[in-house]
Amino acid sequence: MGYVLTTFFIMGFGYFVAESALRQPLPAPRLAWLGFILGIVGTVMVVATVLTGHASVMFTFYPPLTASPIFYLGLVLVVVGSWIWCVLMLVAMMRWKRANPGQPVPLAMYATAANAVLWLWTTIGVAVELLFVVIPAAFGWTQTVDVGLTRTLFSWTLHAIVYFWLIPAYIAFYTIAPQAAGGRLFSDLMARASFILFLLCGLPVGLHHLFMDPEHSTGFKSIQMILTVLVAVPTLLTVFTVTASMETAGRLRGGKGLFGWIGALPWERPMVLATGLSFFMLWFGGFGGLINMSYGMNAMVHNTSWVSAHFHMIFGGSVVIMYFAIAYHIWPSLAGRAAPSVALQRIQLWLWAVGMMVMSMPWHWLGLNGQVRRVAQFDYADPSMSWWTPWMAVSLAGGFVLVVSAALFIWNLVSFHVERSAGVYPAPVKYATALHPDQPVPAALNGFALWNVFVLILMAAAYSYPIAQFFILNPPQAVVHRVDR
Amino acid sequence: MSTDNKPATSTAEASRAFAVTVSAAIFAIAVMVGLLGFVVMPVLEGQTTGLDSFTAICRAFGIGIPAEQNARSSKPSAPASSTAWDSATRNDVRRGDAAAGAALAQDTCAACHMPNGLSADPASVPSTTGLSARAIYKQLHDMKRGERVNEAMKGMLDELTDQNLTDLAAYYSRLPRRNHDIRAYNEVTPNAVVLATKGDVSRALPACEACHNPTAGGPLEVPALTGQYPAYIVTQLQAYAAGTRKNDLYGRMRRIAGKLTPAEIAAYYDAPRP
Ligand code: HEC
Ligand code: HEC
Ligand SMILES: [Cu+2]
Repeated sequence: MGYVLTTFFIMGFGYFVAESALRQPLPAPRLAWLGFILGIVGTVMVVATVLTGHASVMFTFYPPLTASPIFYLGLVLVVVGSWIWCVLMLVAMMRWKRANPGQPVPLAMYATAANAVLWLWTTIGVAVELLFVVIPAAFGWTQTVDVGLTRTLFSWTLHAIVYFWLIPAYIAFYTIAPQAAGGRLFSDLMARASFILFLLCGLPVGLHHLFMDPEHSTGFKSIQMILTVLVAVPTLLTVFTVTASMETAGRLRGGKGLFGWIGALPWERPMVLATGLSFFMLWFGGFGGLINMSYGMNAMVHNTSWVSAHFHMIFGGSVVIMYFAIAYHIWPSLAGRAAPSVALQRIQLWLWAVGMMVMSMPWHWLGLNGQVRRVAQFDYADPSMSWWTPWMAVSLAGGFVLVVSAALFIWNLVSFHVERSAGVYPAPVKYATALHPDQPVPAALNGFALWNVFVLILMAAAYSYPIAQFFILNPPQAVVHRVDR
Repeated sequence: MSTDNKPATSTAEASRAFAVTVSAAIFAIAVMVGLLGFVVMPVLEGQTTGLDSFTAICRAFGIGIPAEQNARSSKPSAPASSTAWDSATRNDVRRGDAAAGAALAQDTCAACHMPNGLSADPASVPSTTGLSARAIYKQLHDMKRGERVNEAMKGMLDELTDQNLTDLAAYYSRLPRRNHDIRAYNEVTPNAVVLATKGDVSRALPACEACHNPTAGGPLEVPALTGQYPAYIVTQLQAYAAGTRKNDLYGRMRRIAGKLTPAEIAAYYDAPRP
């Protein structure tokens, strides 16, 4: 799920943005299809090995466990497919810049390209881990694995990958939601700055997933913790800018007073509703994240359900609900017809938000009380755990609501194509214009050269010794444990 | 306000000024973060534990940890088992010659392990049917290397080559499987069934089936237990618990057997003989 749903969604949305925001055809659509096919083939390989029990190693692989090589090769194909996407996004942006000298790249495209750059950096860690350590072990060419090294390389990817998933939601916040609400984007420059800050602060922070690991020193963990704190800057920038944009919309629609504009917003529109629900969950997820990333407090919640609750809330909740809304927003122009039922779309979004809250709130609480995660089964007869049972039942109920919502989402998209009654939808998707559209954009915020240099410097500072130490100190290796039979 | 209201990029000078300011700011922040993480925090923390500043800073970088190296043992480390599942070994086992193995088994093994794989003396000699070629090869290889002590077979294994071992493994693994569903025996205690199929979370005991089931995805060398003689299973569990059998990688079985009570070991797969 984590790899596949997100990667395909982001690729599809990126291609859509590249065509609709730049108003030019995609460069090399054949290559785009090739990337798509690679992704599909890779997914089939991954799913087949997982379902047949040849790849019970889960999302982060847990070396020295080794699954069937087909599983890892499938993942590599998915990643290679997404690299094609990255290159196409950057080429599309460059072509547009060449054709429109002196003009800033439209924000939606700039942010998509920022995500492509981020993803190229992000995947280096996991690609090196797979190609040089895990796949050789899976083929039986090597018999031992340095677990510390593989964990470190995966951590390189592990935080930035969630920003790769998150950025499309932010693109919708900045460029689609204000338009859908009938307002303007409060500041185009601020939006650009926050995407760049995500690029800078998203990468050199992965060690915050290894706070409790013994293989790294406190200093590197500390600096990566502080850099993680800096992520609060673009997040708060976004909260501010998007709220301000929404406020303009509310006031344009006649909202008065300190909070009157909130009620005046067109909540019946799925994009606006989703943005509101997403922001709501963002508070809880963000708060949980602040606890996780604090070196000290992390010890308290390490490997408990709290962590699962956090990433379900922020990814499954805040981010995925925006994926839904984006799909609803762009589907009419893809299908050429209006939505058969906006009410069903609203119900689906509500169900998703409520289900996600109901499912993950009990996990937060149980996690604080010591419920560990990644466990197949608990002994609920044990007196120290028996009181968890009702909480787990609540959480399960939330899970059922999510299943219903997911099914409804699929129906909502399918119904575009089966319910012929709906009217034709001629208007192309529009992106929000800035409140002050004539504000000049500095060249640095219209490209990525400068920022790539900084990513390189920061990554070198944050990761060079933590990786190099495995070759300097030559620590003991773990014997490969094959689970593929 | 520009007249055509079209957005534009800044002039070259403004762009350069922006880049320089931002770069300086990022640089300053990075330096500050580094100072905080590698100097300020370690030195302050170090004071509370009596570390001098220099040591504290070194430790923050991961230099000089642990403060005192553990004394290194001069004894060469001995792996639990030297059977490595690299692709060469796996291919060798796969390509074992069952016909050659059959002839060899007739000559050297039949006295104790009957040609059909059953035991000539179920009280002490195990069944070798139903075991995978990998399971058989692993045990033969370990016994030959002395990693699993088996006085009855050690002498004859010294004479055999690796090729002989893979041939024997091929032969015995291809014999018709003799599977006995443990649940078919009503003498089996319900507790044993629970342990075999569910384990016991309160003791962190995984279900035996989680590994000892050909489709479970357990370790490659895991032997089948169904069809094995109860007496043999009991002695092996006792040997693991006592640490006298220690060729199981990562001490997997030693740890599990050590948690079973003697009564549980005795009840284990305690089924009438086939
Ligand atoms: C003198 C009797 C004797 C002979 C001959 C003999 N074995 Fe064994 N074998 C045993 C005994 C006894 C054990 C169980 C040892 C223990 O309790 O640890 C055993 C164990 C085994 C095992 C381990 C089974 C398991 O489940 O772990 C295998 C495999 C095996 N023998 C194969 C062979 C082969 C192949 C030969 C011929 C080369 C052979 N044996 C010859 C007595 C014999
Ligand atoms: C984590 C996986 C795992 C679990 C769980 C497990 N085993 Fe094992 N077991 C093994 C492996 C691997 C071996 C072979 C070890 C070796 O190479 O000597 C083994 C060997 C054995 C043997 C020796 C068999 C022979 O033919 O020599 C017995 C008996 C046994 N296990 C019983 C049990 C019982 C009873 C349980 C449940 C209480 C259990 N095992 C749970 C992995 C497991
Ligand atoms: Cu993270």
